[in-house]
Amino acid sequence: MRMGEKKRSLMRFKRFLPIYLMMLPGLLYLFINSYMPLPGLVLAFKNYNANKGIYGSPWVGFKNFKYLFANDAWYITRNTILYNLAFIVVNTCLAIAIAIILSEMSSKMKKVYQSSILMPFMLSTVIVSYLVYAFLGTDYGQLNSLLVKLGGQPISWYVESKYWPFILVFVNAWKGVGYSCIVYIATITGFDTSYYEAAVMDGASKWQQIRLITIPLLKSTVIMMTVLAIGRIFYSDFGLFYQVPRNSGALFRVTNTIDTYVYRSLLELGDINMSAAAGFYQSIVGFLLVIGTNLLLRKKDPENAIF
Amino acid sequence: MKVKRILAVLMSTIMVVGMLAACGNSGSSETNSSASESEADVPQSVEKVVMGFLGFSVPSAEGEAAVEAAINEITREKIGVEVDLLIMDGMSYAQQMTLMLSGNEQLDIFNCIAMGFTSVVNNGYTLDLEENNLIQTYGAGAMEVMADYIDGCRFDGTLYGIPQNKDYASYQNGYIIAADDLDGIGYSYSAAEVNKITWDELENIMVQLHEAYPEKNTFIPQRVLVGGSIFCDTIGNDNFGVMMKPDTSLEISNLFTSPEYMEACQRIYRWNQMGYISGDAMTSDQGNTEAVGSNAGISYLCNIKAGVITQESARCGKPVVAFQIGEVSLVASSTASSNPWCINSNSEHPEAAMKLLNAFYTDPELANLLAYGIKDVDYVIAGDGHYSFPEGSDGKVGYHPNISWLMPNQFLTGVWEGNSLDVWEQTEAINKSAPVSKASGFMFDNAELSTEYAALTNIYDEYRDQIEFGFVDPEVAIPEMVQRMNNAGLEAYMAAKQQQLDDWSKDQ
Amino acid sequence: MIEGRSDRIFKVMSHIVMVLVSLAAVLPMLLLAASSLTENAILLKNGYSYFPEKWTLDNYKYILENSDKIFKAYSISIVLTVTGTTLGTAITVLLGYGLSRPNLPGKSVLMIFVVVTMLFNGGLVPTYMNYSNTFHLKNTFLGLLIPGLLMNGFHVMLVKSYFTVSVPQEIMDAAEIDGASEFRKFSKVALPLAVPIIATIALFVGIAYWNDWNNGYIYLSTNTDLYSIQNLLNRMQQNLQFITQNASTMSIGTAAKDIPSEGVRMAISVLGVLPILIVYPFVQRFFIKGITLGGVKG
Repeated sequence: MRMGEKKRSLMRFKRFLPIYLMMLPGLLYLFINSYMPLPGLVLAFKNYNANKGIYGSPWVGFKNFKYLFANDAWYITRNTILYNLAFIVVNTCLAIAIAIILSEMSSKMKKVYQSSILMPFMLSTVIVSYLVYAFLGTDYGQLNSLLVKLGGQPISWYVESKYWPFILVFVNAWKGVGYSCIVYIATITGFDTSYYEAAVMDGASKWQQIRLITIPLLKSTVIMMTVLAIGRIFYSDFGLFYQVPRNSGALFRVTNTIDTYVYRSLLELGDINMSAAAGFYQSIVGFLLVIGTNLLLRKKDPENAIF
Repeated sequence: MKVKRILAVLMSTIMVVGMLAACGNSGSSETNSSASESEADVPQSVEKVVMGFLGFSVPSAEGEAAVEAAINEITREKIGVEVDLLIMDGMSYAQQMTLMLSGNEQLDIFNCIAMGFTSVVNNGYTLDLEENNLIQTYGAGAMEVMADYIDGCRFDGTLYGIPQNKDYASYQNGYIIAADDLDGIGYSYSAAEVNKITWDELENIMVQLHEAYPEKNTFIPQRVLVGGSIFCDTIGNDNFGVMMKPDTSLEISNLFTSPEYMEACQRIYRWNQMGYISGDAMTSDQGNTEAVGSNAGISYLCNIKAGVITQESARCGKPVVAFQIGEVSLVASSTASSNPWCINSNSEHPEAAMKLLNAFYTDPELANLLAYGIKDVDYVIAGDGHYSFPEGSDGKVGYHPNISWLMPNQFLTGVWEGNSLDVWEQTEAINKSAPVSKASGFMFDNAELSTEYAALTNIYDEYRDQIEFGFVDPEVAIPEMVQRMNNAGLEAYMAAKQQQLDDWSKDQ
Repeated sequence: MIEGRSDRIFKVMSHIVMVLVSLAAVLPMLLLAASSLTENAILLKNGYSYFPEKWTLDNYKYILENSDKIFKAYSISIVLTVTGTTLGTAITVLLGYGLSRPNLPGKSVLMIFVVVTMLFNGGLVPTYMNYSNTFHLKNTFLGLLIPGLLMNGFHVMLVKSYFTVSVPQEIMDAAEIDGASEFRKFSKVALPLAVPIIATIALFVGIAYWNDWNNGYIYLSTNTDLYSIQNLLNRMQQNLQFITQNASTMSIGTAAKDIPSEGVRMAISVLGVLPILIVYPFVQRFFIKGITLGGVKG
């Protein structure tokens, strides 16, 4: 390298040194927390024997993955993907809508509304399952009591699987929208008000302002949140799919996801290798999907590509 | 200037973390101080072993330490071993044990409860107890006590665990019914003995109970149909391929296509149709004894064993009556291997561990310490010899793991109040009189069939409660379930079982 | 400024929508509160109701009687949350800011470094071995603080995105022209503008710490002094499930009696949620700055 270039890149580095130092604790933590255990992923391809340790245990190829693709197991993948897609769409739309409504509000009630919608998020899914049970219980549930009062027949909710996709999407939204909302509210709060002032001076109505300023400005946040959600498309909230349906066998066809299937299979077997294989499978698919989506973004909307 | 500020931020972060680390360490050293103290003043010839098992009530730190000290006083003298007890509760036990075993922390003795003996062996956690004649040299007492059942813990000929001394057989088709409800319909029964009746008589009682108490749940189902009602040996602890005539034939057949299974399921379906069973039975958290105790339910299925009346009455909190239909009992092959005591294959003190286990199998004082804690602190002995909680303690004592049937040799321990004083003798009598399964001592290794097992488990879980709690017509649902199981490899699974069983019996 | 008709419709509809949504969110919580004040026997017999047959304070009384365990758990939860939130938010914001700097050499590499952590997980056993054997965090306070919760890639991305969108490059350039160092640009220019996102991350991290029972479940085996509230509640719940699931195969004896009844568990859940509900309104103002959009001010 010639003298000039070398000096320049050194100066650049020096300039950014404080930035690197600031990032150091975070990067260190990520290294310790996420990278150091990573080699353990090889357990997915091994038959772990405690005596031999991780590195001494024998390789078994893809044997540990077979159970995820058994004849009767394809539906778990279908369920996981479909639910996650539904969650992404429903939660994003609802969260943006509510965030916009709240940001536009000037009344004092705004704080009350926002606190209210966040409350469900604080509950653990076990409690949520109790609450759902309070509504959907066959003998004493609120919903059945209402149905009977209106002259109808009580429904055995925990046996009829056809209602559950809606129930689960609803419960997931109920629990999560308050949380997702916050991100969008914070982003909207950070927008430069001069855009809006200019629009108002041009005579734009609220609807127009939302359509033409707020939503486009939100685009990059939405894209980022969505891409990250896509990366987790093979994961599921265990509490939501195991506790809320109260582990009712009749509902398995629509509530068994990869995570719950793995849990049920391995409860007796206790096989570390098989659960490592499941984790690996979920990670790899998510990883590939994120890379794929990112490539797409690079072509169509390079500013918003993640990397 | 700027560098200083950055450094300031970093330094303070490091300091905080450091302080917390110090906090954390001192915290843990406080709780371990009792252990380290005893280590410090003990001569090097005494070995310390860590023994882990499940306790339904986790002892307090002080209670556990006191019991450890009491045990160590004896064991230090007699066998030169000290113990560190690790008692954990329900769900976290299996998780913690797996992590400790795979993570190579010191754990010398452990019980396989909630983990599955087969998987524990397959993962290589257990020590071959006959290696270097370990058990013959240091565990002769235990071998003698468990002579009838110890072979049940052999896997492919190698001995990996020692079973506990407990009830191995019990009578099937036992029904527990609340006494006050029976009084209400004017049925006369024997309060102290098990009432032997016929199926028709039982159905009759149920009809009357339901009529008299329509607002209560006449029958509370739980997942006991197979073990409680059907005479079969569930080889390898799963229901996929069982021996339907365990005392006479080694043939493995499909439980789900058997007439016995269909009959039991039809009965419960009929009961459900007649309204005996709550619509929420499949999703309710409530146990059968809780339901009976709170007057929400009346009866449930229960295996009949020695002391069952007093036991169930205590669990329900009010008197109950025991009924039995038929006189069927069985010592199943898998009972011995359900919760054996094992030694960690990575243990650095196998001899010490073996000596300690042996002591628990043979020494009544140690057995009582382990099961009930310290006399007059954790329990008292009444005039008639019954053990119970100290006066005024309200059941809250420092050490009471509440799991006496898991103990190595329960028969050495005192009889807790609520059981008749000769309950151990009665239990032994039933054990000896029951027919023994021909597959006793056989362990099924399903490591190669985990895919099928996973699929079958999920399918069975899907249908199980619906069928066995009577919510669907078994004539429709059972064939459907069986077909899906066949698609998932049930036949291959059963064939493998039969093969292993046949091979094993040739070597007997 | 005259409020247009469409603006008024918007306002009215907003309120209607939000009232409905808020009710839907809050009603089940009220059910939870009501059930915690219901007598346990009634709970078992009739299930949950907004207007139980018998109101009682018994469940809370039980808690007071066993207060030492529960208050200890409370203090652990509080200390853990405060420490974790402060530390976690600090390092997250620092990292997120760094990544938002344009022209940062090696940015792509660092981004991949961060994103990969969100996609790949070593698995339970390797993570456990890492923290327990390598770092000896088992049964310590740090074992509750550090694994998984201190910082995660998602929050870092949120911070980065915020800084990129909401701190215009012009302001930064202006500050640089004025001779500000990188650090000063951060502390004097970016940080004040970042209050909403800092509050957001702090809230997320805080809730995560408060609600977490996983770390306690895995890393605490003998040190029961370190149980947090959620850990305590979850263990009770799981033990109960364990007992009812296995009642057939094991003689449970009277074990189920030791687990607090349903009413008490509801009361503990309420106590578990209450602190957040109390603290939250104070935190809220940091990200609802009350910007009026649409110019009623004018």
